[in-house]
Amino acid sequence: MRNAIGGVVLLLAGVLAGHSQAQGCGGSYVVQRGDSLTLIAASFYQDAGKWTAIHSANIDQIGEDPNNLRAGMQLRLRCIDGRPTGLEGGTTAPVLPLAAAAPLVVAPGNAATRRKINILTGGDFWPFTDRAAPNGGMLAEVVQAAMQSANPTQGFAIHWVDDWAAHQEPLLSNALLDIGFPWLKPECANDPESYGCANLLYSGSMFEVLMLLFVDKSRPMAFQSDADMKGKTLCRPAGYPTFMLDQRGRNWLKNGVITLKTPQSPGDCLRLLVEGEVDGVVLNEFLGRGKIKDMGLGDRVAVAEGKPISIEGMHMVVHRSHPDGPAFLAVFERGLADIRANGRYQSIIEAHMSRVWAGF
Amino acid sequence: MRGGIAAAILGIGLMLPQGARALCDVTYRVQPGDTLAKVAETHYDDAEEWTLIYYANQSVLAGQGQTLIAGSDLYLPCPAENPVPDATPLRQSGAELTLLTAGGDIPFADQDWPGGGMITELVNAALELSPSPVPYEIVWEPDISQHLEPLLGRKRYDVGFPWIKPDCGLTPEVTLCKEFHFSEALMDLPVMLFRRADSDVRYGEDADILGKRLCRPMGRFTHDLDRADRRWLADGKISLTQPGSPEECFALLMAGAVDAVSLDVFEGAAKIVAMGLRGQVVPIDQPLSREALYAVISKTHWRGTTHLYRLNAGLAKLRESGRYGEIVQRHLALFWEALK
Repeated sequence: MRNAIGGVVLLLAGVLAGHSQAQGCGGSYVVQRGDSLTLIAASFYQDAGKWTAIHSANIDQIGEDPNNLRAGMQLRLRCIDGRPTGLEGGTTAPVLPLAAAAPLVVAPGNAATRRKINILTGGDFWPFTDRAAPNGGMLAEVVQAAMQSANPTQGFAIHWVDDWAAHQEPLLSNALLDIGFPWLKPECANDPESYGCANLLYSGSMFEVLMLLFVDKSRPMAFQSDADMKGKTLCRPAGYPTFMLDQRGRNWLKNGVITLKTPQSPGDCLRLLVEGEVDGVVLNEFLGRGKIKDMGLGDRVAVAEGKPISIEGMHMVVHRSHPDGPAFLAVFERGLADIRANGRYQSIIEAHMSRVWAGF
Repeated sequence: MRGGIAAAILGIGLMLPQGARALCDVTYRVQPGDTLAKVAETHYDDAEEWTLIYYANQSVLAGQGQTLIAGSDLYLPCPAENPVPDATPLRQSGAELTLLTAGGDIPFADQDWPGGGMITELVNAALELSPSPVPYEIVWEPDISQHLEPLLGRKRYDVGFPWIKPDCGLTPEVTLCKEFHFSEALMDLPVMLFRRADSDVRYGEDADILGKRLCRPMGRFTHDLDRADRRWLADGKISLTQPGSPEECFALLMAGAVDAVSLDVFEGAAKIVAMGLRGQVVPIDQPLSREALYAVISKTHWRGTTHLYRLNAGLAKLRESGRYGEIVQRHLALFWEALK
């Protein structure tokens, strides 16, 4: 289904590129006294925000500090969306807007992997972890970059198991794999009994999302207060945490206020919604909106009026019984801190989120 | 009964010695021909303080021009006395949520203004009430040209305020529209026309403005002049002069080179006083446009939608509790007091 969208994007790109072919697009520009990257971006791309594209294309000359622009520098201005035109050295070959990052290729495993830090994730969780997404999705790329930066002596490997319900039990609990992501973290001060608090250790948050209630437009329900939930049937895919339905004194599940259905996938939840089997689907905003778009349900499914269900962070976890758990988590945290400090984290988030918002 | 109160107020107002305050904290029923400025003149002895009534009655006034609908009930607040802002225990230095503002923008955001300005205080109070609260910090950076790019765009800081929203339907390509999420409106901002007191320039409806020469400083938004139902600039229906500063606009106005200066109500009033033009330049009652001030966050921020929700949900609680109105009233009173 993503492929269909990809096809449309490529088609559009083809049209734009065809347009630019006639005029010659991109080229080089000699910096004048008084120029700044934003000024150049505004005049050539009609968008001052494109200064980052100029900066990254000319980082060899300008260096890390964008203020280090000097008159006389010869900058390469890449062709983006058909701009700029009329420059020396412009290309007449079609140029794609952004080099599409490649989908993930997972190398076949072997027994040597046993000595590595083995990291568990799963698919069908766009835009965070999805094998069809560029580099396996935003958080797969973040974890890959963080672990590369931390460079543990024993090495590391990321494993994809699509059955999320098998992750915490038995794969992580028995240390069949070492650490796993991305997982939401309960508020353990208020909810020490929950599975996650009793059994897992969490890294800092890698990304933060709103958990939303998606409803059928033809029989909408609102979420303003707990009373709105009484007697409703909600859906969460199998293996997804459900603590947000109980914490903060809600106890919707514990007290039987709601019924919860847990089919295999987020797509299954949305299907149950439009078939009238459930009243609402609880998913993070991006996954929910992405699935709705993929499934062509934009006319039928909407976010419920009222409040989001919760704010959640996405974390790396390890089982408390894992003897090396805290050490492995510390390795990951060190790598994450590194890539946050050197800008790698931000450029990964930017590349993925730009695609996400462009797609909505 | 309401009419009785109104009559009583008018009676007392007439009997009061010049300069004294009339009754406030009362409901006033609008009489035929009333304007906000007239009501403010009667009750606060200062036509410019119409903004106090405006902000206290936004739901009633929505859709009304400045010539009010007779029979509407307006709440006339007392100018607040206690300028002490609320405690802000979550405002900590080195906090994880950083809010970027330029300052020097009285009464909205200024380091030396009580509470750091009205918008700063509203943002603080909202974040104190937010669900899943996080510690926050206000960062003052005077060079606003650096705010969107690179400071917010590259995530050096998280949330920026206060920003006016462009007409994103008209100009979807501008950075603010393309790269940023907007919060709910933090505060409405009437944009006024200021004319020479001895001129007969009027503005009641858009037709009055055609062929006029307006002045608004360079670098300010102009999207309100070109929105779909106006297209004043695009179709050459007015002439707009854009000098470097509001002072130059007022100088042009006094020299007869433009018919009116367009600024938001606060900046206009403050410049008129600062330039000693009080009495010579007056606002036209009817606002030219109604803009609003917003907070913004990059769409590619790792907490973009969640920080926005924290702020929006806190703001909703603030409005619900009535605290929002109190903060606004207090700052408006301070602002008009400072101009006297």
